[in-house]
Amino acid sequence: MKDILKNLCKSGVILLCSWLNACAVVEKSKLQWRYDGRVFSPLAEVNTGLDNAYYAFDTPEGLYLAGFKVDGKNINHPYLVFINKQLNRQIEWPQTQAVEQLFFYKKQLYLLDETGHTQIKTDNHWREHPLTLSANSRVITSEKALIACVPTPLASADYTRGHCYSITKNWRVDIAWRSVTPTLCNNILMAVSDYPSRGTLHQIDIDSGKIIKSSSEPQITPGQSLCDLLMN
Amino acid sequence: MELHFFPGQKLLLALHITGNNQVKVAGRYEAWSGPSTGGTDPRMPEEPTWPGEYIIAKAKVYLTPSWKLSGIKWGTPLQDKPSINDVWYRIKPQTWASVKKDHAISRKDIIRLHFELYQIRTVPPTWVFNDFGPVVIMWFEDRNNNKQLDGDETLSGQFFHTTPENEAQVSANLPVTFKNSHGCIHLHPKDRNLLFSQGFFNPGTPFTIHSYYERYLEKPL
Repeated sequence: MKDILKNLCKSGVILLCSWLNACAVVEKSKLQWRYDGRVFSPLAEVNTGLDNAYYAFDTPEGLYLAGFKVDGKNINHPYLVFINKQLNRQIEWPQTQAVEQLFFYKKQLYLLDETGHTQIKTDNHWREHPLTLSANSRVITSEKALIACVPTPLASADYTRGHCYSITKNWRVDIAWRSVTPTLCNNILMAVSDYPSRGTLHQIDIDSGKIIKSSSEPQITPGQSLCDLLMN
Repeated sequence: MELHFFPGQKLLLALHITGNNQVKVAGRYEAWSGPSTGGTDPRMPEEPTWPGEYIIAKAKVYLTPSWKLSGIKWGTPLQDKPSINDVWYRIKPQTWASVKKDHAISRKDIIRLHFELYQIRTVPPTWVFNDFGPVVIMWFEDRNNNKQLDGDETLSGQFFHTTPENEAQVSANLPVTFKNSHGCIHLHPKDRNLLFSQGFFNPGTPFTIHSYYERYLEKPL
């Protein structure tokens, strides 16, 4: 009987999650994109003019695509492009630095570039914002707190430590991650360190930045959901 | 011919020893070691460049899985593939492989690294990111004093090499700025070429690494 109840609860959680996911999908544009800069709806296709797209941020109004236009001398010019949901309107913004990420923070849309500088969108323009993150940061959450992580650098001569930090809560924790991007799961920051040995999973309290628990998870692969490990 | 390295002075001396044991300084070169005490880099802790008497063994193009950018040989031809968000590298004369798939390095990473080194946002035609530069010069401790790597002798894990940053500075005619290594000896690319051309990196050259506290006190040339 206990097992049946447990299973029912589990099914309920799964159904709830599916419904929430479905809602999330409804809130997005449902546009698809390709690395060559093309964007698709179920009925149409447009070319953004990007020669390389590497990142997309979906919103109910349309899709933001970050990438490069490559000129005749093979120089890559960084761009951010917006394509509306109906695929009949495009706006492009040339950038001085490659776009790393877009995120909503305090009800405003922010653009984060590779150097850690940010811009906010007002009307159809991006303007520089004083919020500055460390170079090569990736924002992990910007809902209740602003938490970002910097990967362990590739070059041996670059002594930057892989780390995660909270701008709002003012903490930093060094985690030598690279292959798996840290994730927020139920208010716990999950990060896998690659060094000195691969596959140590750290659970970090997002209020204090303290590591609550570390365990060896050598089987973790890039792309795997870290939240599944928390549920287990 | 002999080489002497004084890590505390960041000084590499190339010496000519004449028949009657007269020592003549053939060249003085700036060279940087590892730190004098161990470091804490989680990727590979920095270590001192170990003092001792060694013999130059050989020069080789270096590959290692220990460093992400050093899994591809310096100079390996590349092909930019923007439409599939990848860069290919040549593994055989007619065979190419994906840098992203094999080495988990993205096209965007390559463009960023190249921009940091050469101030141009392109995928370079060849791999210029190997942490050890185009070539390393290896040495060994000659326990049986026969100037041959044999018996139970092994190559040192520390080498002479240049860095991608210093190679880029030289190609742009900029001054070379050195950094401490993880234990190897960093050389100016032009000094490496000169020492090769003068035969100092030939196998069999005696090479002494002095302690961090030793100083070479003879008058400058």
